[in-house]
Amino acid sequence: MTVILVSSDNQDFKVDKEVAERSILIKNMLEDVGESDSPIPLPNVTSAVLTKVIEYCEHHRNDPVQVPEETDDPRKRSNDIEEWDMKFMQVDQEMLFEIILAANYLDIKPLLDVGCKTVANIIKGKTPEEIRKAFNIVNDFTPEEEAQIKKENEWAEDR
Amino acid sequence: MHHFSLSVPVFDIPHLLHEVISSLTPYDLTVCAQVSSRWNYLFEPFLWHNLNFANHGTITHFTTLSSSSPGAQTGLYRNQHTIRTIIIENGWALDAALPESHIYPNLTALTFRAMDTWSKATDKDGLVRMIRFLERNTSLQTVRLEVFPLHNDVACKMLGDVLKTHPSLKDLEITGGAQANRSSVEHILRGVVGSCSISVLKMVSAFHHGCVRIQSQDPSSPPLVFSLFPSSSSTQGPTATRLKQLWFDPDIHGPEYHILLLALLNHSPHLERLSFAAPKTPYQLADLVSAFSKNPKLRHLELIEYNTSALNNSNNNDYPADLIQATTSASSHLHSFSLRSFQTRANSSFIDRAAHALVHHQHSRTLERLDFCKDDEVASKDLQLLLMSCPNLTSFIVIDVDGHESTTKNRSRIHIEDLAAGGWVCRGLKELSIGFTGFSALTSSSSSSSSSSSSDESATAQYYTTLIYNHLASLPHLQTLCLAGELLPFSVSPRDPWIPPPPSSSTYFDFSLKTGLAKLAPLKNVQTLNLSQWQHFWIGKAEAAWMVEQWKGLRYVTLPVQEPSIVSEGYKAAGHFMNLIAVRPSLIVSIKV
Repeated sequence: MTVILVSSDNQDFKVDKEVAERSILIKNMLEDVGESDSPIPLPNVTSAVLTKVIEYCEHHRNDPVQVPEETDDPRKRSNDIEEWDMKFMQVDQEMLFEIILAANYLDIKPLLDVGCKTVANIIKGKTPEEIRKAFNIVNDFTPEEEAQIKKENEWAEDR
Repeated sequence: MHHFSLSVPVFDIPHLLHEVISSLTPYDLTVCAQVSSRWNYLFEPFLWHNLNFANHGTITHFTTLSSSSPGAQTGLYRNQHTIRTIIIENGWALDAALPESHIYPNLTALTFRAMDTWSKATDKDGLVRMIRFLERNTSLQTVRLEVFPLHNDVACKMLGDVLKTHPSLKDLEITGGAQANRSSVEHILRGVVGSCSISVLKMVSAFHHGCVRIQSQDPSSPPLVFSLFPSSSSTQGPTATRLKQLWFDPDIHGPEYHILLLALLNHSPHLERLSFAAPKTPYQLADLVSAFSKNPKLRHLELIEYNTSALNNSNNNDYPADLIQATTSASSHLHSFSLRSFQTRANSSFIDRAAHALVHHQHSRTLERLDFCKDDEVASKDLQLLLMSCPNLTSFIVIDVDGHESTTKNRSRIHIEDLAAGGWVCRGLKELSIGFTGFSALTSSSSSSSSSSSSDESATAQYYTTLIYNHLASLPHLQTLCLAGELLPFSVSPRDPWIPPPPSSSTYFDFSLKTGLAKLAPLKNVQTLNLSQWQHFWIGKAEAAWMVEQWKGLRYVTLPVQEPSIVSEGYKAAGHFMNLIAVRPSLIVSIKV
């Protein structure tokens, strides 16, 4: 069985129901509506982004439903990303953010996790200046403010 | 072309920001806080959520900074609203962490690890200051006080008074340092019973279990009636309105343990979960059972510290079994039952009676969790009885895979001849730790017989192997699977182990694809596979690849350490799994020594 998803720019995407239901939002919608052929509008997702999201869901169509980790301790969490996912996430930053926002809207937790880990990996190990460069951010601190903030937080640096 | 020059859109949604931050180290966070004013606003609070005033050498890290760098102190004040948890490792940090009159309005959890330094007469002040801090910070919900001086009447009285009036405290754990003193513990218990908010109380010993032994009471001593509130009549007095969970460790309370436990039970009618030490005498048992009748909501029982050898003087061989029957009949429908640190060598019918008591007291319909892993041995028929009569089990543990004890401590196995074609009823099982035995008997008898009966043995072995796979395959919700293997008779020397036939020539339950591993494809939710207590399995390259391919969630694989004397393909399994980390980076392979 297939369903039709409609992107914000009015493109139709025909996908297997099993693939579409990786999105909890769509899964719930289909359950509420019951058997119906009517297309599902996704006004928050462009066709470019939806193409990527469907690619992800196709690849992961047989994955078991994610069980929430028992430990919420961030230190125990792994930052590893599977090889395929890593390649999948090699996109420009704009697309990366759009994929995360779409995964958030469509409620696809594993995609959301991979996206957020990818963002974290960009930040890791960099200096403030390197982060500014990576994310195209303007430093709006005065030198005094910057020194003050450094001082207040330095005790945490080698934790 | 868009430019994200002002902000990263993902960070504007709080839970996405949180998700990213959960993958960052504190160091990364300090860097993020220095990027721009927007990033500072977003990231700095997280840096101050959880504070650990750690001890580095002789001076705490924080004290160093608060005296040499006033910046950190300013930061503490500026971020006082964002602080959620504080851990204090050392009394010296107290000045820096808890300035007089300082309140952290959103502080919910506090751990003190410094008590030992204070209990020495040098810093009574610190103890008082800490208790005042608890009193002042009314938002606190979780408090751990480690190595608290449970022999110090003044400190305990003060703490008890604060507990009674604290509006938010829900979860209290007190670790006792020295041997407790009954009147001091009473002060704290009165505070807990008087509290309108505390729902979990855990009182444990800081020392290893069994370090301090309870002295047996005189078995002829009369039943005890004791109230925490001496002024009121024995069964009256205040009741703990919220107290639901209680861990009461015998090690810190000494000979007065049961007096205090009974008193607390009498005042806690809403109790649902209880971890307690088994009473040592029939009189104490009778008291306990009558106390249980006042706790109608009890659903989870955990018996800790029970050693039948301590009962040898009591000349009552039935007592251990009576104990199980009495405690399991206490609740009309138990949801979980665990036996911890039980040594039952003296009485082989003990667990037998326990299993029957659990099933026959109507608990089979409600039991969700059974944990016998610290036991000597649970009979194969009893294991089968439990698995075939408790439909709601989610956790069934008879093999201790985390313990450091030798495998001989874990002799509980299901004998293949006890398996029934009907299978188990607990289809919702999520955690299973179990072993199967009986194959070595089949092959050893076949080696002495003629070749024609050898093929019969092979057919029999195939039948049981398939039966085991079918039993396991009927548990689609399994997340944790720990398996132990063949139980060899004591007469077999460890230097001359049973070497199972390789999969090419015969069959037995060995986890190889040839014997039917593929039947376990329905176990889509397996995350943890622990074979550390298994001697004879056969996991080749193809088997490891199959598991990683089929069990998408497989994350933790634990294997036994290789023994050169045992030649088995199974021992190369770790290497096969390691090679698969490229395919599944989240896979963690460990080897248990």
